[in-house]
Amino acid sequence: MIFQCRDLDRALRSPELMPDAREHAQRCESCARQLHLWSEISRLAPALHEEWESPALWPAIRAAMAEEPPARRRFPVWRWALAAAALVTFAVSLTMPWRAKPQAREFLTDDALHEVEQAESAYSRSIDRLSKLAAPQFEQSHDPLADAYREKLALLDTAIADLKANVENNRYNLYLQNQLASLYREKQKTLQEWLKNGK
Amino acid sequence: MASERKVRGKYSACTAAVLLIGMWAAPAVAREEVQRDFHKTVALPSAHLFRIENSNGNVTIHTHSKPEVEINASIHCSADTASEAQSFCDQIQIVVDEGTSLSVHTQYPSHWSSHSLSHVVHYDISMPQSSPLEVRNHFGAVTVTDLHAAGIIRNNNGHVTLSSTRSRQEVENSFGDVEVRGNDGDVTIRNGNGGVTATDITGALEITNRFGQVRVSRTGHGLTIRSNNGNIQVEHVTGAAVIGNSFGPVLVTDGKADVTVQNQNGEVRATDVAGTADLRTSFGSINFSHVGKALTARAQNAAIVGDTVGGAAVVETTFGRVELRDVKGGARVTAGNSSIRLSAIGGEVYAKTSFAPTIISDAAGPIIVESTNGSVTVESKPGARCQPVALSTSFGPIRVTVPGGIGYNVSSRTTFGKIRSEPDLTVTGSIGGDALNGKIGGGGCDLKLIDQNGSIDILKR
Repeated sequence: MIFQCRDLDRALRSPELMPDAREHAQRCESCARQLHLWSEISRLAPALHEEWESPALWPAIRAAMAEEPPARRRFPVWRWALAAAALVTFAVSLTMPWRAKPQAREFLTDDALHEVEQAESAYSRSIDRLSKLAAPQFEQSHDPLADAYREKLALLDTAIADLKANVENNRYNLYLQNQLASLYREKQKTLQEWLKNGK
Repeated sequence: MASERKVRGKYSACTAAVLLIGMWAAPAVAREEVQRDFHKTVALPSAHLFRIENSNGNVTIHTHSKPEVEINASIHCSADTASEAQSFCDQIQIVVDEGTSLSVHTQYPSHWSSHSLSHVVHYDISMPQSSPLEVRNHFGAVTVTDLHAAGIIRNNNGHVTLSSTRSRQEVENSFGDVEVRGNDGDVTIRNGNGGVTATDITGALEITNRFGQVRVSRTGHGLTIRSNNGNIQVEHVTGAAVIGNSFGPVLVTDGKADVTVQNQNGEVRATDVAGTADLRTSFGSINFSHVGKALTARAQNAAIVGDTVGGAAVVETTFGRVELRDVKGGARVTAGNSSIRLSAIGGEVYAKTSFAPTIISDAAGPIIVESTNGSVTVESKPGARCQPVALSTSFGPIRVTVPGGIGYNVSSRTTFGKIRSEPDLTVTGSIGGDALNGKIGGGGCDLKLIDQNGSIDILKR
């Protein structure tokens, strides 16, 4: 097949056309950019997935269903199933075909760095709040569990300080920023765990 | 001979978040990236040490049979302009020191002021299979494959992976996982805040870890794990296993020799241990099954439940139930505020508890129960010969079932309660009062039943 720019949309829906699309993209800057953007979406979209607890949601749905007479069902089950299948197909087509070879990225862009720094501030604020909540229990507790949490938090603080010093001289380094983010996450999780399990 | 190839890369990218909120076609702020590659091949006689030190990048080591080291490094730099990036990359040096050993390290400029500069240095190295290796790295991953000589790897903030290696390997890491897959020799791993996985180790394996899980599978000789605050999973261990942990469960499956577990605030579970099992914990249950030799299980504030022990069992706990089944030897159970349920015990039984019932069935040897504030129920195992039974409690009934056709010398006493005997009892001494003494079937073994505030029932099987 002689792949042309107009075939790109079709290739994004058909995994078997992707090798041709990639080959074409090596010669075509515009298509390469499109492919890169799509691969970025599929790479990063899972991280944007969020879940939250809604204990009232199912009882409310159940109550609504109970109240609703069967005659009012205007959208047959098979249509829901079809819609769900279409959604799944779309999601799979988004994530699967060209995940195989993501471009190895070493550095952040300015935009990405800006977002990372914003996220870091948000983490810091969250951790500060959690630390304040945890402080009274921490100061009073002589439990071995509290000792373990104290030790872990001290280790994390040391590691964060060490890493921040390194990041200071290497701000666009993606690996370092990822490491820093994971340490912040770990500290946040540790504080949350302590608030949940601590005595 | 060193050679350098310069590759200039220029691209811009948006983050997915920006893309997804609608800035699909918006141009991102461009930065310039430069990559400088370094290649050098240096002779290194077999068995001479190769050492490498790096930071901010990965170190990948392969081996070959040639007496030389092929050093490939890729230096990546990012800056506002291409010339800045290039200039910075040019200042980052790969220093190669040749001597009896070969040493490589990354030398960064002593000072750089711009906040816009960033860098990464990755190494890909091929070295002689039989040369010892020392790697020091920070903020990057280390991968070593097919090394047949001793290795020392010290890393932090990155994963360490060793595969298909031989000889003694030592790995130290923090804030990253350590994975050793296949080493013909001893392995020592010290990690913190990261997981440890070790499989197919023919030599002794020693692991120290904190705040991370440990997984071990198929080790040939002794296994020692010292861990805190992490889950431990061990399976198919040929040598003796000694495991210490706290605040996390310890699971051991298929130990071919003795297994010792000392845990705190965590569950212990041991299955298919061919040797002895010494299992201790607090605030976490102990579960075991199929222990080939003797069992010792000590817990606090936790239940102990298990079956099929090839030797004797010693069990101690408080504030948790004890359930023990199919023990070939004797069972000695000491508990407090805990129920005890023992069945199919091949040897002598000693059970002591308080504030909870004791139930024993099918015990082949002598039985002694010392309880306070708990009922005692004993069913003797039917057999050709009798075994002495001594049961005492306070504030709870005693109910003992004796096999037919076997004689006992009965001495029973209770202060507030009745004494009944289903088998014919030839009473000796006076009838009435607190005590009833006599013989069942012409006498034989001692059957001593002492209670306060509880009835005593002797039943026939």
